[in-house]
Amino acid sequence: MTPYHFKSALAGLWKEKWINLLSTLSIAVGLFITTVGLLVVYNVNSIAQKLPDKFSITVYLKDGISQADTQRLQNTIRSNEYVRKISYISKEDALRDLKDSLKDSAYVLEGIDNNPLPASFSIKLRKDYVDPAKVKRFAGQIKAMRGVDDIQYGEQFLSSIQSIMSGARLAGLLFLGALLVGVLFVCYSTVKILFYRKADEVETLKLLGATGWFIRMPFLLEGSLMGFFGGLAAFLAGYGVFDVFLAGFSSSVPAIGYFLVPSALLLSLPAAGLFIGFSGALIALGRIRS
Amino acid sequence: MIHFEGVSKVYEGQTALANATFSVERGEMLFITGPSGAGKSTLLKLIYHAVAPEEGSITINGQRTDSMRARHIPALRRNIGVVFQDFRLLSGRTIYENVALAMRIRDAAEAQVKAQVMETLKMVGLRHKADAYPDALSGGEQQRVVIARAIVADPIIVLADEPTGNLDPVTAAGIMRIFKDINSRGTTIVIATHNKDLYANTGRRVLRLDSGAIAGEDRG
Repeated sequence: MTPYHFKSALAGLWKEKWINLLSTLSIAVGLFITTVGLLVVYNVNSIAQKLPDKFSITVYLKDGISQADTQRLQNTIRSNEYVRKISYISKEDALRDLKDSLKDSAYVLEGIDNNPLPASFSIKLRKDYVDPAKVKRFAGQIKAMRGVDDIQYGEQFLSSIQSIMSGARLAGLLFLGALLVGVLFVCYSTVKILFYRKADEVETLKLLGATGWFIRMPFLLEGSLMGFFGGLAAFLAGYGVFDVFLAGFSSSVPAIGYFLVPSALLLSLPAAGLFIGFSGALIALGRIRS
Repeated sequence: MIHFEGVSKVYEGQTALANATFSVERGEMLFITGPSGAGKSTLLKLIYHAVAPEEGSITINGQRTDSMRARHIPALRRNIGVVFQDFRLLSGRTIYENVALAMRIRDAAEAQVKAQVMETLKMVGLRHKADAYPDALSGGEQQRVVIARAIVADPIIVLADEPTGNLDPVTAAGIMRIFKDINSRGTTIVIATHNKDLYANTGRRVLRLDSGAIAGEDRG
């Protein structure tokens, strides 16, 4: 690449400024929507990462189980490779928790002499084992143990969350793929049109002895610059929407504050635009026959 | 420098050149003449490989070019300066840029481009028009720009297709002086023309074409 190629590319961009501006804006819109899609996938993923921490299994113990049996059972469960943490909740603790959670309505418990609540274990699993099939197998093992009355965990919840997560991820990736192909096509068709418009000039360059790369270079630069500026516009739009607008709103709508926007993603937009612009132009130019 | 051996070229069933055999020596100035459609332009196009022959062999500067691979064609063309009949100037670029193109294609350094372009524009009397665009120039001036572009990079061969086409005799004589000048420095020149005044009394070899065949050879 020489200063001549760069000057030619800039002159070419300026000469066809309207079509180039439209293409650049199309690239910007495409990349912006792609970014929104990526952010959704990213956030779904980060929720999916946190889910195992929230997931717990409650094991209810039979009434009248001895302290020694309780201790033995706790030890057995703790030694299982699935288990990250196990905590014992006595009948009294359970009642106190219930009262706490009922708060002002705690009077409904008045008049109950016997504590009807069972003692229980609350089990947190290791991250890798929070999976519908594995949890089911584990729950089966526990339930079969002596002294265990019942076991409860969000079976339905777990499997539906899992399928939503994987569905969302797949849909997101397909959507992103389609959008990127769209952006690539914008670059491709713009450069193709520019190339056709300059068919005479290209023919003259060939007859003067220019090599294929000499002819291609200004077009490749034009495609790359359009992609870069499209990416830059998408970055500015993304920065405006996510960093300024959403941050302003998060004080009144706290949920917005949980929406994560990795700045590396936004910062990589101009580079991504440049790469897509260059690739689109390269495909559009193809082989140049002498 | 240039050798054609039994070369034929056919366009959609029409023979443009039939079984042509001739040679051009290094440093020679050869005229090709004949009526319109005689095959003059085709002969020049075969030399710079804008078209390939159906039959025969073409040798340029010791290299067979008739069956040359596409990727070697640009290098061949960089050895040849062409004065196109339809000029082929780029309308969106200045005279300076048009002439400089021939050097940039050859990867010349910017300082050298500037020096040689200005010197060549001076030689064709257009130094003062360097910043003008082709449309602002007269036919004769545009013709001289095309000549400047053809010779600026010191090619070993210069081909000119009707270089004085629609020019008045005074301008035509000026253009011929430029060709003689570069020929005297050793550049091989082939000029296709139907204008007898160009070669009359020059003592140069004249190849006569008629209906695609070489009909004879004279001295101008």
